Amino acid sequence: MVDHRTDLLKGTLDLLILKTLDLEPMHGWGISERIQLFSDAVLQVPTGSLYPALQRLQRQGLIVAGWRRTENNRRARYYKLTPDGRRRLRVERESWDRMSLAINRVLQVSY
Amino acid sequence: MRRLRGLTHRIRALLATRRVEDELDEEIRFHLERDIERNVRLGMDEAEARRQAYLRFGGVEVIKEQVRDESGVRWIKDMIQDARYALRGLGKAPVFTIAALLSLGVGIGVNTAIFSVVNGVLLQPLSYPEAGQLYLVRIRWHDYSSPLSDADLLGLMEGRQHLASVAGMWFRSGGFTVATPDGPEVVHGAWVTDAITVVFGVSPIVGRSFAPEDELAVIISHRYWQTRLQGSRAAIGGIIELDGRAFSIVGVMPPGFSLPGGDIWALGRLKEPTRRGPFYIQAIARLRDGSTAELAEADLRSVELLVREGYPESASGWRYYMLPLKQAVVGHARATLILLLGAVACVLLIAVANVVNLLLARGSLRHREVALRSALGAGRGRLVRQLITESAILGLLGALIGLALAAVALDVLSMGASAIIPRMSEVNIDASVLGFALLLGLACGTIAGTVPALTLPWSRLGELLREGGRGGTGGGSRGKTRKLLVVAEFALALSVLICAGLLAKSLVRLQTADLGIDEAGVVTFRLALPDDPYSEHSAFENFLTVLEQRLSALPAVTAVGFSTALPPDRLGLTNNYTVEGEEPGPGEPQLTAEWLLVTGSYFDALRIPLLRGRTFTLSDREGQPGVVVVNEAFVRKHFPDEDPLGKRLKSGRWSPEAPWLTLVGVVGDVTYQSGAAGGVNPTVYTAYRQNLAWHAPYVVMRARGDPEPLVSQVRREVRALEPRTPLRDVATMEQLVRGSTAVQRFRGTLFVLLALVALVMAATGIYGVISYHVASLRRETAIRRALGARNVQVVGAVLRQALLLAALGVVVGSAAALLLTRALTAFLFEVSPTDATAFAGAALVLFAVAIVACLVPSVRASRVDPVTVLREE
Repeated sequence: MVDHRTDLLKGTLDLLILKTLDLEPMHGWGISERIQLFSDAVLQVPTGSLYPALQRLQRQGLIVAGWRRTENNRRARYYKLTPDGRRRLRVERESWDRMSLAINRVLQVSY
Repeated sequence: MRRLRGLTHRIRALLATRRVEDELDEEIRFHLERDIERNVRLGMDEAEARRQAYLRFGGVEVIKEQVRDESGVRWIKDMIQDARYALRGLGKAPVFTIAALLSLGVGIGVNTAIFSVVNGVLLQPLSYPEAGQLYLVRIRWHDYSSPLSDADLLGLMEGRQHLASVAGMWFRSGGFTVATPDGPEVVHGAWVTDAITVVFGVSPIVGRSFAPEDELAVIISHRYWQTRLQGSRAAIGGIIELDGRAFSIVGVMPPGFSLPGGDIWALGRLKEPTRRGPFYIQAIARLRDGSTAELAEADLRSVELLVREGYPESASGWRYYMLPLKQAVVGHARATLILLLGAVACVLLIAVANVVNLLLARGSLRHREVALRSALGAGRGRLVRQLITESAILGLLGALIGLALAAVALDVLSMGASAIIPRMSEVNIDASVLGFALLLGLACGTIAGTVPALTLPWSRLGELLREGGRGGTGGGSRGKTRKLLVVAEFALALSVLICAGLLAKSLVRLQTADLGIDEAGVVTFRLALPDDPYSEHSAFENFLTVLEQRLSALPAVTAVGFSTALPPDRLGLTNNYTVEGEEPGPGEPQLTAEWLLVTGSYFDALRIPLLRGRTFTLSDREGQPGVVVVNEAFVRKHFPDEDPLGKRLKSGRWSPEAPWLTLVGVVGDVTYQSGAAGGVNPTVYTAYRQNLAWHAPYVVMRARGDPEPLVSQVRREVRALEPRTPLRDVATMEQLVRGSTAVQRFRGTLFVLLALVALVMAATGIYGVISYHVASLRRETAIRRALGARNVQVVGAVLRQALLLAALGVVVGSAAALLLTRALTAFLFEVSPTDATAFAGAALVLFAVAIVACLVPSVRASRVDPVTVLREE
């Protein structure tokens, strides 16, 4: 089996999940759909990584989970950002921005 | 807060396992259903929608595993699960489990037993307060080391700066004679100076320590107080008669304080020295807090100079040195214990190799199971961990068995070793021994489990599953590993075996060595006569004459002699001497010989042959010309080609005034210093009646038949003559000879036992591998038999395999042993550490064991029925 969870991807996936949950609490399937939607289907979230990532974020106390009814009245596990998660999102975003800026610069130089 | 949330999450994951699992299932189901719904909305038919959803999701079980991995408590749950799983697995394979546990149990058991002795004897501090600060101060002159003299100790007490306190201790040979209502009794004890309790840092529990104004005072052990004085308070301050003088008992040491020297400390006085020697005082010192041995030794340099100024005639080049008290007490047991540690380490390595072998054999049966679990989503790390957990549990169980075995072994050991290894009574299974055994078990188990886990054919697991496990040979690399292990086991076993062989051969040499005497029918004892009146030479001479007459008159007694030394290892003293014509120049070292005072009948009693001239007669008395008898070794050294009779020599340090002694006889060589370092040395016998100052003689009696029943008659005769003197150290000569090899016997026996254990383990190892080999070659064997191979050929093929492994083991083991046995040199008596018989004998034993171990599997191979086997295919 190919291991998708390289460090960069792991961090990126965590960031995407946090970002998605920043809008509203959501269940696992919804998160994967939304990431795909927002990224114009460029980013395929491998489900194999999504659920372990959710578990990891819970362990870190960045999100919490609870069972709720969906609009179709089905039981689903919803994930929600904690205040710590929100803070982490901010920090991660800033570092992400700095990082992409840096990468952009490198790319520009090589032009 | 974040941490708390994380923690709650983990606790839930740990405790509510079932619910967490259910919820995960439900969550994944929900995900898949939503995906299917969407796919249907996108226009797929039901089946395709489901297929696409599952495809997109990936392996459900694999993802569940990964989620569990992320829960943060995974390892705890895994460990519990693995442990449970392992125990179940072990229970299902009882033969494997029992074999592995026995191997580990015995391996860990012998190691724990020896470690507990090392721990109690070598590692633990002596049981005195701040025992690390206690040192023995001795004096050294080149290689020669001795206790101190009065002059030295006085100098030390004055000049010490870094020593908080110093005390002297010296022994009266054979102990004190204590008068009791039931007659005289020998009690071991020592003369001490008053600071002794301060040095040891322990005060009497009843009464007081010595005071400077005390004259004749003793402190006794708690044991002596309880057993001999019934623990009576009235005894404190009371009188005890020691060697004919009345002492007052001033104190009792606390229970559990093992009083160095015995049961009695008698207050001794240092003599105002008139010369530098004699050197007889053991000086015990306690370092000042915060000081070091180096600083104290620097102190000693200046004391040295001061003392030598006071006694300018004393030789220069004497140096004080400090020896940690513990080292002085247990130092001589150290080499033996380290040797034993090496041997038991070999046994443990064999045990671990055995367990690895068993695990590998079992592992090849388990490849299917592993392959299956891997296919079901268990990660490689997880599987390895599980395999290792299993063997670690095996190791821990082995440690428990080992502890039980060690407890039994220690009981046996302390019975045999209490007289040989000091502090044996302090040896027990304490927390550190417990920890040692458990850690050892864990380490052995983990190491043993790692090898099979590493050699699992990971890339071929899938194939194995498809093969249906029928082949299950586990691949060539594992077979090779197993054979290598057997070779290693044999090499290790051979090393231990060779060591055991060398020690056993040395023991036989020692026990059959010609001591130069006829020990059968001889009984010996010692008398320490009181000074009053026997410091009068005439009184002592009279005593010798009368006692010899009386004892000779007993029925069956044929000879009665007196001596200051006994073979094979009770040499009283050595002495300098000068042979006429070989006088040393100034500053030249003097010769030394074993020196005895004996009566003429001593030679008759031990049947030491007279080779030339005569021995001593009753007329070789004080006032008559001094005479000596020497042994052959002495003649060989000084008069190899001359008639020795009539030659003259002087006793002691060379001085022109000392009288000449005339050589009147030559007797056979006798061993007075036994063991590896001993043997026959030049010996000088002088006439007891010309040297009557030493009134503590050994008495040697020869009788027809068993001499032991004579002892009570002898006791009566001695009491009639001198009621104050008990018989000390009563023993037959045969007992003394036997006793002189006790240490070697102990060492030899232990080694032979360990070698047996190593052999049995190596045998099971090769049995396992060859059985496996036979099983894996069933088809081949069947074909060969079908083609007409006879039983003998089949058996031969298997045995060849076994012998090849054994031979490799012998080659490797011999090479290792050649390096190792050099460490044994100091323990060997007339045996070279590369003794060919020992090496060849050990190799033969090993081959024999290999053949016996492989007979069963090879016979099994010969019984293979070609029809049945080939039809199985």
